[in-house]
Amino acid sequence: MKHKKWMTDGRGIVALLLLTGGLMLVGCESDPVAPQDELPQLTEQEAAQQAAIVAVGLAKVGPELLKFSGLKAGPAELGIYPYEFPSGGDITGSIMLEYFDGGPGGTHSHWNDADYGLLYSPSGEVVTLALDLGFGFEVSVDLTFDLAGPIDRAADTATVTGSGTLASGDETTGFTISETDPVVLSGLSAYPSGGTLLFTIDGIQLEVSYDGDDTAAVTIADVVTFMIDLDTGIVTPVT
Amino acid sequence: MRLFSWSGRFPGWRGNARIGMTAVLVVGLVMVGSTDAARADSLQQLMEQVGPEYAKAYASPFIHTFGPNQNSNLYSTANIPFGKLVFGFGVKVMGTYMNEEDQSFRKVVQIDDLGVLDPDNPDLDGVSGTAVMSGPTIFGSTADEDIGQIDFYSNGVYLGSVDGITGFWETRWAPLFAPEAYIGGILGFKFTLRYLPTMSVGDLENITYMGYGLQWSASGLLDNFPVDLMVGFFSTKLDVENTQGLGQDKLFDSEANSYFVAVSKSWPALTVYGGYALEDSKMDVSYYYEDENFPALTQQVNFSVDGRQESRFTAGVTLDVLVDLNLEAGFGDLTTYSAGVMLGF
Repeated sequence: MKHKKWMTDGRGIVALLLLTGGLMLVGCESDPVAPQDELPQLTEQEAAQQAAIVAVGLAKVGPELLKFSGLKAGPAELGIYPYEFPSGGDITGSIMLEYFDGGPGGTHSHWNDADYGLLYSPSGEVVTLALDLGFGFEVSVDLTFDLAGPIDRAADTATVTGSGTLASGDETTGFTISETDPVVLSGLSAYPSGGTLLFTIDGIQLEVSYDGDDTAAVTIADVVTFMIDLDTGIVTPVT
Repeated sequence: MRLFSWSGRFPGWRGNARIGMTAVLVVGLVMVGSTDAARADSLQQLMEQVGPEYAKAYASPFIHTFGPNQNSNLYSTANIPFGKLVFGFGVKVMGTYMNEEDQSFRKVVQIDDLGVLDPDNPDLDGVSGTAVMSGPTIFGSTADEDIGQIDFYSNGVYLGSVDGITGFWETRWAPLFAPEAYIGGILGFKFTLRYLPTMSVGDLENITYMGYGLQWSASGLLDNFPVDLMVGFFSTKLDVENTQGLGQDKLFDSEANSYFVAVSKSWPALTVYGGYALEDSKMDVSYYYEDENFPALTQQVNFSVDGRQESRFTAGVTLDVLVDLNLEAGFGDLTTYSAGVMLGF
């Protein structure tokens, strides 16, 4: 009976109110009401387009490892050369070039004596690539590179592996070069003679393969799905 | 007329003297614009710089907190006499404490035809894209470096950006205050009125506010019941005048309604109360968006948003020492705190 009175004389309700209020004061937070939309999932073609931009950028920037000459160098230590792309072209920004004699464990050497080289973006620096992708105006993307590999001066080729990034607006995409199929850059050609770039973009795995001509193939799930025009960066579905 | 300069590199767009654009969207028409002076002197001037999709997202914390504020502190006891005239007056102050996320937003809108952005560029005809609007909300950062922006993408490629606007008032509290008067005590009824004469508060000009409600307490019929019981409703309207003088009467026009049941227990000088309410709110936003450089982009902007909160639990305490002082917390989708000081007779 005593318990029942406690329930009916109001003390129980008061205690419940106080308890509820106290708990809520401690633990309640307003739900968010402002929209926080996720960025839309990229389609395969959109992912391929991002990979295509990287493929074009690597084909344009990579050969500098071979084409660089002392005439382009400013004051520098032996074998370590900063290089800034000349203004007015479709590439702007700067990269670092390092040359070695005796392979990757060798000593820095004059650029022309090297059998091994590095091409990389200095910390915080990007290379900006402008492309006309058919929108009626050029779009710009920022690229970084971290490449390394043996140089064959006689053949004028460099066989590089490594990685890099593509920043397009708020989106950043990474890529790596296949260890088993490194990219073969040529000082005489704008198109790598071989090699495969690996991407995972928005969950889509893509491989971009160079073959020495002005196109590169985009493979998704073991199927060649798109072709890249290495001059324009435009992607075309394979029908 | 070329509506948008696509030439040059897109990062160069940011900070252009004035840029306007329009895009036909799946969900309707969005218009955004920008000036080199994105900081403006008033909220209205800020809103005038953006189209409805941006404005909806930007103003969403303001829109969704207004209703809960207006529906706060509607009672401080469930006891109303059956045969004793009571009346009083005072002031209520409310504040909704927003989630930290509400100081910024990101709104993604699909664009069916980018060609609408630049009719002089045939390459864009029929090209679809995405607009990603992001930045501070109305209660977000007011710093120029945190200005909002609209990024455009197509085929996975970033095309460029234009500036949005800064926040208006950086805070997590959305406040409201209201003078209130009541009269009742006959057969358990009480009529309550909230009213503000037309006034300006900060940068909000010509605010008008009025609310009214009726409560009925069963206390007179339930003499031996351990607590007091009460039901009631309250309806309020709050609007802010549009001072553009271009045919829009109201920049913001809001209304809120609450239907509640309450219970309270009183001791000398102390009342503890609580309740549950079903509520709704709505805000209409109207302004005239004018692009001085590109008159074709000028349009009337009108949109209406229903408030998120549809119910709440209330817990409060009232101290009766010379005046009635009550403190209250309301818990629904949003958490609202309020206080009132009433002089009753």
